[in-house]
Amino acid sequence: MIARGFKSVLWVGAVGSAALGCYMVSLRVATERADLARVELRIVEAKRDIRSLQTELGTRGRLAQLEDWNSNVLALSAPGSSQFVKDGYALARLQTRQATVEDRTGDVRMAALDTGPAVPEAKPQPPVSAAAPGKPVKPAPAPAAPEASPLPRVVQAVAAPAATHAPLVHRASFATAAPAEAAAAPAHAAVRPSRPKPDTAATPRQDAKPARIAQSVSTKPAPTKKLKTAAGPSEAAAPARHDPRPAPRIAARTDKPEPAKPAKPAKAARAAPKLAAADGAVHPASSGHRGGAQ
Amino acid sequence: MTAIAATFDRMPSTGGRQQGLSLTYHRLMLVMLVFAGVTALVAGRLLYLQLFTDRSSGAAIGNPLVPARGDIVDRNGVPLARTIDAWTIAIHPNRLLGNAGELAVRLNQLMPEHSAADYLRVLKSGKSFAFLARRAMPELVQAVNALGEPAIEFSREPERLYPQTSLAAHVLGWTDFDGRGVTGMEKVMNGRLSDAGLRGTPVALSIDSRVQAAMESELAAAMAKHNAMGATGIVLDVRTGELLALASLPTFNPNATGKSDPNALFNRATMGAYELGSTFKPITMAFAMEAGVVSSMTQKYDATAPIEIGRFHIKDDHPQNRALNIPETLVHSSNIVTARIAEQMGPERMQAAFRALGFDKPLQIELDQKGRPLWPSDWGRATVMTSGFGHGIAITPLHLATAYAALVNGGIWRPATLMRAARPAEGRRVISEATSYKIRQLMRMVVLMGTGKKGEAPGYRVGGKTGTAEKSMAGGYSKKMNVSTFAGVFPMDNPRYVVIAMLDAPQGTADTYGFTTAAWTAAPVVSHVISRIGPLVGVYPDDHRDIDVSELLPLVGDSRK
Repeated sequence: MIARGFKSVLWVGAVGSAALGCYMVSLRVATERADLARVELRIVEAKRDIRSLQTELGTRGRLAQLEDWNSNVLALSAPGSSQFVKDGYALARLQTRQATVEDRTGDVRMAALDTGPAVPEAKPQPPVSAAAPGKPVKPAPAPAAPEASPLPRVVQAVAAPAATHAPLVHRASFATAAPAEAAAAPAHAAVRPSRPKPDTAATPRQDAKPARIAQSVSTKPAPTKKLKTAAGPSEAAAPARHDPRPAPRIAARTDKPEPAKPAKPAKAARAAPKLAAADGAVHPASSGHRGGAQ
Repeated sequence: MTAIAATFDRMPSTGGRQQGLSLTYHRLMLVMLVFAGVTALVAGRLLYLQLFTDRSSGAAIGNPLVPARGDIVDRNGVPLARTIDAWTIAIHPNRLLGNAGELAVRLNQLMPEHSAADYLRVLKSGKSFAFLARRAMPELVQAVNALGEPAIEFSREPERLYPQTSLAAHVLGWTDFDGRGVTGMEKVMNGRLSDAGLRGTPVALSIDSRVQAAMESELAAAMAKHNAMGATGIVLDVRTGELLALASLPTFNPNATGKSDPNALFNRATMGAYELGSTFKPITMAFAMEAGVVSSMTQKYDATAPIEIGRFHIKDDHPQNRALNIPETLVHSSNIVTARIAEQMGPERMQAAFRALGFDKPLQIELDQKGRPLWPSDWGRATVMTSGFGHGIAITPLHLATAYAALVNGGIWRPATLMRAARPAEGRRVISEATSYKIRQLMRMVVLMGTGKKGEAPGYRVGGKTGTAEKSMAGGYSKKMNVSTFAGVFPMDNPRYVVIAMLDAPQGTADTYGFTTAAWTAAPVVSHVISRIGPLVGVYPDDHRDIDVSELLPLVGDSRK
């Protein structure tokens, strides 16, 4: 009886909630649609802004204006025919230095830089920073890292035999960007991963250090342990490739075709003396570090 | 009391229970029906929305990104003409609240292009609407708004903007305030640019703005140096007839056409008919070879003395005083020999040659601003002879560019075009491949050894021909004023572009030793332009490649005789 009395109420309730549900769905759809319309409106406004800004930029940087700047300030002129290099052979002919016998037979040296664990530990800084002020001049915080880190991340740079002081290739075209960047990349990449490293982060001079190390090591006459096994530049590049941990950029760069490679050691070698002059303490740091890297 | 009430209460209940119950059922049924109806309504509405809602309705309102008038871009997509929203300042003089005299003075301070009296007249006119400024700068709008006069109204209206200002102004033309093209491509493409369906996609011209800019700046430099009246420059793709640059100086700013010099609106490249002088010689030579009049490069003609026909003296500017062969004729630019060859050709064949190149008809180009060539009415002996070296017949520089393209591209004449073409227009053969090759060799010789030396751009294998004509004035030729032209082609081993520079009435300077001839004035322009644009258009300088002219080198004697 009670069930029969409530039956209609239940029905009404069921139908009502179904209706409410349907209405809620439709409301939700409408809201979503309105949001979408708002986003689309914003997109349109953004596109309009882009267009007007592009127009303004194009007007301010119009060719006549650039011409004015060029004639008043830059004084650039059209490149002559000698400034264009037709192919790789013509480019290679621009190298004036003849490779000596030592160059051809000498060991290829490599620099390896430990960039510490991939994930920085939670609170490693206070103890080290407390220690650092005690001997602020001591430039060897880097070696500490390899011992501390259970999983050393190794970044490697390749250097050609000893006397690579002369720049091998100068190119005056846009294509040069690749080798130059390749030369700069290892050092750059080496700096960056080192930042999360807790110990080095503590010292005031850590920022520049890893880069210096990477560069100066390449000039050191004593090859690293690992390098003794490496026979040539192509093999030297291989370890970097096998190690999964270094940044992929470096692996890619070291894989560059052969012609690009000589530029790298040249750059590193040229940079090193300057750095050494600026900071005599680099060498102890680098040697100590090198041991650690293995 | 209570007992009574209770009894009273119980009394109807026995009789009305059935009735009350059915009433309740009825009411419940009604409520249920209402609920069911509402539910059905909601469900029906949902279904309707689901089925019939046009989801693209938001886009159908009208894409606000489609400009009021289509953009014009160059061949690389660099905008040359765009439509932006500009401010307009207007006033409703009949609703003026403030002091009219004071307001007129303030308006004159802000917008000095009209006097305070003018503004006062507008303010007192009692009209319902008047423009104060169109295309106003935002700063001006802000300043006028600060005057606080409620009768002043600000609105946005589309405005045509030419971001590169005067670049390719003659090609682009301009629009009036209502956005209709007045001249140039704006007028030609008016329908396409204002078509609602098409204006979303920009119109791509064949012009390359970098090439155009290089040409304009070099021409302007040469014009300033030589104090010339005007200059014109053309870069034409010999394979397709596309114009990469079409410059005419002095130029104007299409953003402010009202303020420009009316003389600057004249497009010399397409409207000006000039006697282009010795630049005709390769044309005469090509058709003479084609006709068999010139059968060998070693064929010699007497150039020892000027030719006299009636009152004309045909003489050489660089007299050699000996018999000249074909390469020597072009290298030393001998009028005498060319006249003799033209005479051998005869009036019919000379006319046929010029007609083949379209010299008798107005230009074939999209622009409306095009001039008619001056075609001689009488083809007597003198006319035939002088037309051989470009006197007595006047054509536009663009006529010459298309003719040169046909001479070097293997012999196919194509009309010039300002539209970027996916594939070249249908052409017609005017000379044979073999003749075209010989002409290329001869043009290269002119630049290597002859009058066109200053047109050389190292590594770009330039060939070409100088042309200096005395300017025809009212009542004859001016001895002092020249039209100096250099028509160059590069690279000669595989011709890609014709580059023409023409200076109208240049004056000699110290470093040209007072010369106003094309070799000293126009040729350096072409040389500079080619060095600048070569890599941009995909031609790289190469010192180790060139067209083979070894068979012609021994034929050219010393010019310093």
